[in-house]
Amino acid sequence: MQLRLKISQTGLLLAVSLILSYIESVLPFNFGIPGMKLGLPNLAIVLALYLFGWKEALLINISRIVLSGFMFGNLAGILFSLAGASVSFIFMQAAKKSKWFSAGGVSIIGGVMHNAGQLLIAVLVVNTVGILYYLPILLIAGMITGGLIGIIAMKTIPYLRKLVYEPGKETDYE
Amino acid sequence: MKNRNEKKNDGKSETFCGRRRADLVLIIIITVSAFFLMLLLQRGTKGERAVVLIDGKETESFDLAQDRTFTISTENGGKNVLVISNGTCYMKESNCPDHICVKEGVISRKGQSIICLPHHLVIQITGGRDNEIDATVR
Repeated sequence: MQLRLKISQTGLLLAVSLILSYIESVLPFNFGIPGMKLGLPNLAIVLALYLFGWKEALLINISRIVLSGFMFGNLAGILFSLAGASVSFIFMQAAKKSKWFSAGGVSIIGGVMHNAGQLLIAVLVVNTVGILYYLPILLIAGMITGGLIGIIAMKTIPYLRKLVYEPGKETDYE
Repeated sequence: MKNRNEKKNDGKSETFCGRRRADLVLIIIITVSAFFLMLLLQRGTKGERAVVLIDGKETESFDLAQDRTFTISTENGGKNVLVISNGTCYMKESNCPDHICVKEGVISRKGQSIICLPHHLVIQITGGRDNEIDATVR
């Protein structure tokens, strides 16, 4: 019973993240800077991180990128997203583990690191350091989008916690 | 656990304690470092040349004062149409899948660049004589 519940809830969050990926691919939020993204799907990843744990969050993250990449993007896009997402995921998990930050702070770190990671990959691909010119803009953009998503996550986690009740889990999102 | 929940409800006194304060510190650190990077990297002087870099190697360089249209061909089959007019330049057309380079719009200041990732192509604005190319990674 427990396992079935977990599978269905993980699947549900994966569906949410795919919908958010779709919304992001439709919204014209692109100032032509490589690596700049609204990062809506990160909401599902932050939720998964707090509701389930890092293994489930990683699973959702990877499946989300591959599936949404085939549906709304291309192979190169998948590789770039994978790079940005893994950098951001590692830092988010580390930030959560440190227990210094709230879900908002974790989400900010995720957004900033996603942008920074993708820009660094872009530097490697085009072999030109000069495009680091856009790093400050990307840092600020990642902070704002990450912060907004973090606020949404902090507001929703208490309600979702009631559905994914596990005794002994602390309120660690504030 | 119950106690913590009760504490949470008693008002605004807790808003900037503990984790929230760490969040605030994080925001300040990111803003300050972005500001410093901006000062370091982005000096808003007008550029003079548009340099075409493919895989980090300079292949062409144009004077921004002369209006012209140029088609760049890359090894992996890429075709990008670069337009220079009135001291600015922009990517008019590209056969890459995402067209981010076209959406990047018009650039004119030193250090700005148009990037076409699928074609490993960068158009970079440089300022006149002192530094032709800021830095190139091998």
